[in-house]
Amino acid sequence: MKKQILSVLAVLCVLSMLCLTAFAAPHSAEEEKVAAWLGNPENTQFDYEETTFVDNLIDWTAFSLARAGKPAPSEYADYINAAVANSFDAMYPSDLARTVLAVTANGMDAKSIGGHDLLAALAAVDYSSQIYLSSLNSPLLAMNFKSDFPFDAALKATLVESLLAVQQPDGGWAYCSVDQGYGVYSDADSTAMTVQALAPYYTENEAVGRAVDKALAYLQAQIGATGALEAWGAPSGESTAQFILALCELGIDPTDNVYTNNGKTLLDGVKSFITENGGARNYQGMEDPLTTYQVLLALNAANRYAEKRESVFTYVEKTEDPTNPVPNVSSDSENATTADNVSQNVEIPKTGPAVTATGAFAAVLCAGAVCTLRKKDA
Amino acid sequence: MPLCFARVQYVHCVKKMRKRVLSFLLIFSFLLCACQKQPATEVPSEPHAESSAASENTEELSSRPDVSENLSAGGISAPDVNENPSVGVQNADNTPKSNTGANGAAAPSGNQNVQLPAEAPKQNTASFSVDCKNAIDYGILDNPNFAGLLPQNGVILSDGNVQFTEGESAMTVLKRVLKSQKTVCQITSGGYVKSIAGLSEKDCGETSGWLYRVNGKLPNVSCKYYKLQTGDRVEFIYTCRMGDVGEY
Repeated sequence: MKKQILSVLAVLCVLSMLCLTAFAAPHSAEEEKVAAWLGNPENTQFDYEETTFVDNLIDWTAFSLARAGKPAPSEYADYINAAVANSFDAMYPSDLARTVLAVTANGMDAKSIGGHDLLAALAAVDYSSQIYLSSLNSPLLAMNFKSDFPFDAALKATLVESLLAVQQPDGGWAYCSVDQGYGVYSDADSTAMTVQALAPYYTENEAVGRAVDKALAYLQAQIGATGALEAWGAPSGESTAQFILALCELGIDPTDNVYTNNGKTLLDGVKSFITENGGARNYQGMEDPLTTYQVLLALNAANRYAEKRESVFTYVEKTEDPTNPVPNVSSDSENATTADNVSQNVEIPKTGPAVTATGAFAAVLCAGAVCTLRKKDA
Repeated sequence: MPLCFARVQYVHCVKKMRKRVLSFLLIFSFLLCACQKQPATEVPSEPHAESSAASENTEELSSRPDVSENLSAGGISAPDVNENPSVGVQNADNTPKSNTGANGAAAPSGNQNVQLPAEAPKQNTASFSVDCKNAIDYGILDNPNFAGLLPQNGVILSDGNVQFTEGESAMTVLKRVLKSQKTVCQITSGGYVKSIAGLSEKDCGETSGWLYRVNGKLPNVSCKYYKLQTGDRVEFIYTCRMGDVGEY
């Protein structure tokens, strides 16, 4: 009898450990791994001091890491202030938009960067004359980012209309709406990024709803056998990541059956680009910060979706409420001006460790019980 | 009696075994718990099956690695242009030099002083040049902002040998060479050349900007990812419109 109880307990013990291995590596472990790679200066080799202009890759990396709970290094603030001060007049609308996203996500004030008010600059752009898609979709994405940004509804409506006007007949969007000598083609990245910007208007605006549905069909048709988009003739980590971001902004499960091909979800697809080091491969098979920040954003978006947190492109300032020390779903993740916040940021991806801890606890309990029984036996 | 003894022995053995098994299980469970917690903070230890899946990127066709960089840069940029399937290869007739037989690594084209020293086998050298003749032809010098800035003949860096160490990229070496002759440049972290000597993308029209050729070919990676081979001939060239920089 005792023997039986013992063996049952032993089996339980083993089972609980098996559970551990099955569940303890949730998305967040992967997200952590990729964030660690991207946060390592040896991998990115950014030269903050020598970079005297706003740098796409540096800014998106700072944005992505901040959204994943890792504030940018201290050099970032110095670089971005100097770069904006130095190259403000040469900044494209997309530069303004990206900088707004990156600094806001890192707890800085977009109204005062390098002596310029980037929000005012973004509002002052003449959007009717823009032919590059990124001069429309990036600004709209930035304007949507924080609810108290001072952009009026009419301005956003203008941007929405401008975007709808340049949707291609195939449902996609093209990088440039005017032929520069090599045609006007829809592409997956441009399309997915535009959907991200249009997402907040999806339900309230019927025209947006129709346009986005068409775009989703356009994107869905490009999913290949690995679950990744095969947008440029080969599976693309970047395109797949952008599609996941678009779906998550819309509140659609990125592992939804509709976007699963050959049993592989988009998330499987995007993960297939991650190396054992945590970097993500570009189309040439090399670990590349450009691919990695996009893959990180996609993993982060999927985790936010799974944990019912606000989306990547919805910034909710952390509310300082001492009466409510346990942060609720909507306010836990944001960052990052005070040391207090930083420490909170470090603990963000909780599911992994939490599950691990619970499992470990169960295993120890079982083992303890086995021990006690055995003693009694003796 | 002997039988009884045997039984006692047996029971003893079993108990010992059980003890061992149990302690093993205990230790094992603790170890496992400890291991499980690591991947959250530590990177390399755990081999994830799905992450080591082989790359399917067998071909380097038209995928644009810089697409989002270029998208958000709001402009047509040189690496973008040269990675576009429809550009680059087609304008053989516009090629500035018509050296038909030039091929591959150590074949410098005709007129230049790039005779590679055969006596320096372990020295890694490549030749670098930077020219903006197309911008001069476009009439950039009529613009007062550029009048004194750019050389009349468009040669910003004349073809010459540069030393590099194994594994260095075209970007790293270009930056070093320009710095040594005090020419300013803006090269993004992604390896996109925005400007050299004050001449920027779009200064000569929407599709103008810097691109580069290695041994006469337009590589389909940014110069950050082009690893130099000894004997390479690297040319950074300003393009104003499609077709004014071809391959040879």
